Amino acid sequence: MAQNVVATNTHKVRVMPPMLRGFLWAGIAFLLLNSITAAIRPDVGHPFFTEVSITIGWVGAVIGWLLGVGAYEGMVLPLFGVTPRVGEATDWRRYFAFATDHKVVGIQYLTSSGCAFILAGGIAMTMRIELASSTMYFFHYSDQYLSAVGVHGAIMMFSVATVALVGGLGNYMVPLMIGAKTSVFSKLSGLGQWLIPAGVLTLAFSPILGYWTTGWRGYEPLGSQDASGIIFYYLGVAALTMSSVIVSLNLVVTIVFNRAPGVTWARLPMFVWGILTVSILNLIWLPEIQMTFILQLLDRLVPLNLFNAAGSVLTQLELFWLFGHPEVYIVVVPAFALWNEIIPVMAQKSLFARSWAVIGLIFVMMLSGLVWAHHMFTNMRNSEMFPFSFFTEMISIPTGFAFMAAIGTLWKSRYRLTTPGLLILMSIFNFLHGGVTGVFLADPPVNLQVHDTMFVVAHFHYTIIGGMVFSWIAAMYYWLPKMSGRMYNEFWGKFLSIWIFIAFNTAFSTMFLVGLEGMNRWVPTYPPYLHPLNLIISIAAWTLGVGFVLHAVHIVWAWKKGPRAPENPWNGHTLEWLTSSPPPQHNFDVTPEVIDGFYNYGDDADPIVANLSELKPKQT
Amino acid sequence: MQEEAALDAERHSAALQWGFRLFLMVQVIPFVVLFTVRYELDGYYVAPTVNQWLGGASALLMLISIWYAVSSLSAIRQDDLIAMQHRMKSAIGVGLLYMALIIYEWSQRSIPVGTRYGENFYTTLGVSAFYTVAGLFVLVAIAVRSGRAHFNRHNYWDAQAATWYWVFQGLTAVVAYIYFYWI
Repeated sequence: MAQNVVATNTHKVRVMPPMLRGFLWAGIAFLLLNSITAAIRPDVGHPFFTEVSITIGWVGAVIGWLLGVGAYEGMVLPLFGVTPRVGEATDWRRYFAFATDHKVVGIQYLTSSGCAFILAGGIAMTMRIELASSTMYFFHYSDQYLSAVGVHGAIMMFSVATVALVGGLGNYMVPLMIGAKTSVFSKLSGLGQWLIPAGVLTLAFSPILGYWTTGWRGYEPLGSQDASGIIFYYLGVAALTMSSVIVSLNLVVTIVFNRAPGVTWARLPMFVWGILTVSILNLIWLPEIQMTFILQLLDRLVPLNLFNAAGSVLTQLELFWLFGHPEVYIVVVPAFALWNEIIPVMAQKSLFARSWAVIGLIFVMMLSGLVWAHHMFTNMRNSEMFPFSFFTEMISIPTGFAFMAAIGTLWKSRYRLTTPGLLILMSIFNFLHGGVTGVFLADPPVNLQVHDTMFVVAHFHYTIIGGMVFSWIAAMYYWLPKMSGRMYNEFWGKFLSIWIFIAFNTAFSTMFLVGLEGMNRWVPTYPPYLHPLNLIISIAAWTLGVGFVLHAVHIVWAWKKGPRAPENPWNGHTLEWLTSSPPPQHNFDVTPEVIDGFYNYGDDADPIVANLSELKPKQT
Repeated sequence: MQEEAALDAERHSAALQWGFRLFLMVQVIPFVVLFTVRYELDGYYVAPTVNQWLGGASALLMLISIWYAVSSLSAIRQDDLIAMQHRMKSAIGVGLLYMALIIYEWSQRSIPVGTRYGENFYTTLGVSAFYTVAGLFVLVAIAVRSGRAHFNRHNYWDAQAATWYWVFQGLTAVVAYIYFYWI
């Protein structure tokens, strides 16, 4: 048995490893609540497991899991005024338990998201194995394939795309970048992290209860007709979105209140602006979709007729896409911010039109709530399409501000083509294609023609993998020296980046073509004339998957075994570079006093902090 | 140095309060969804079998409970821990009575579940009741803690947050009553 550090200095207390205890308490709580429910509410035939009993059992299991990993000592006992016997671990074990240090929580989130990315990516590989042939040969039933699509999409959207940059890099970097010693609701973020494994495992095992066919959208009336696996979809998404809500709350309050003196709104780092805007989007739209899915769950369990074929299917679609389109911006807004965070550093040139880049983020946030119905043009009258088509095209203008700032900064610069620098350029290139095809899709004639084809699938993968995932990997390389104190191998970083760039563009540009050739999404079989293009996509997708895994291996290797990194390898001006690498527990020994913006380079750039000599980083 | 620490504490306190208000604002959104779904599916229809007097009694109990909670906060602001504890316990007691009335009303099954009105009635008021149960748990926790944590007029944030939450859930319960029993 491993030991955690005890609260007193006099002796050590042997405790069960928190994750093991979490699993144990989750199992006990599940069996207990399931048994009680089965006893109180015997269904026809008296089965031990019913849809109602597993739902209630699941709620107990998640609570047991959270308490077991450390929320019992970290939150519940203090709530009742009891001092816990065991404190937080201070060695490597802290990464495997409830933690309140924002850097530990950030690394936990990054690990959870990274594992979920590999898992959901692996499921995508099975989909491409199936689609490498025009007939079914890998999956036995079409519902198996559709379940794979749904699990892949839901895990990717709710535990990777929404989480990696906000819960992961946001938790780690935002307090450092604003000169804070900690976050305001550190316990909330610590708790939120442990909802990610709970949600991912729930989604991953959902097909055990029966195949579900709705995809990541939970569409009705499909959901009401599906087997019981759809229940674990609703529950898994509830856990994952709750994680993002509480992290967003913590980050917004931290950004508003914990900025160091001189970190004014006009000087706030770009990445922090991105996290602020996306957190506000999370706080508005995630509770909305949570309640929608709770209603769908009740529809199923009670049962009710709110959204099924006897109810109002259209209401469910509206409620889903009210959240669903802002979700796309929840994913890519931090990526836009990363472009303009990293480019000035790599170019060593002042950020062009910084104010407009910030305004762009804010207007994307505001307009994202006005465009949802372009996902439903096939359900609408012609006259109703116009405003949504208009606003969807309009949103490309503030999006363009991010491009404008990036290109303006690159213009006539001596850009350093490091691995993060290269990946950011690739992200911009990819997102340009995703964005332009999005403008096509905003036009009803094109939309109605390519609706539900692989053209749409290619479009959003260009925005999400091409835009967000490439930026995420860029940011991992960029901040690796800060988080680990070590440096990656530049050759392997660039080689693998070029690898994934070629594989990605081969796979998804071909997917545009196969969509235009008439291939529907959501089908495991297709006419034989589409086979050659699909085979190309599958080969490129597998290559892409291998490339992502190799990137992960390289980053983990560099984290542990890479050469020692200099204190500020990129000559970045933001505050995280003014402390040790990795940073000490409270980030800064002395609070920085900021006196100038972070993106001014050149001979005439003023000092950024007044107390630079006191902030001299100490290598740890 | 002490001045800096005091400023930090003051800022931290302001952050907690602002953050909690933001949390409560965010919690309005699920109720907006519920009210919208009811309007989309059922307009402003009110079932003739709904017991407006019983619902009114529940709403009144909730308002009384809110009053007790708010007055307990006033007591601790005046450094009166004993009064705070008594009023907090009264808020809990009246809150439990509210829950008992809700359970009694539902057990009467005067509103059939299988109707448009009924399914919205039970889902919205059910969600509201869930918030009430969560609020009761927090109030009980604070009541227990008040004996150990030495609340005083300088240190009562936990009690304040619990009270704010209780007021929020109480007001949503009262709005739900008006929306489902009268409009």
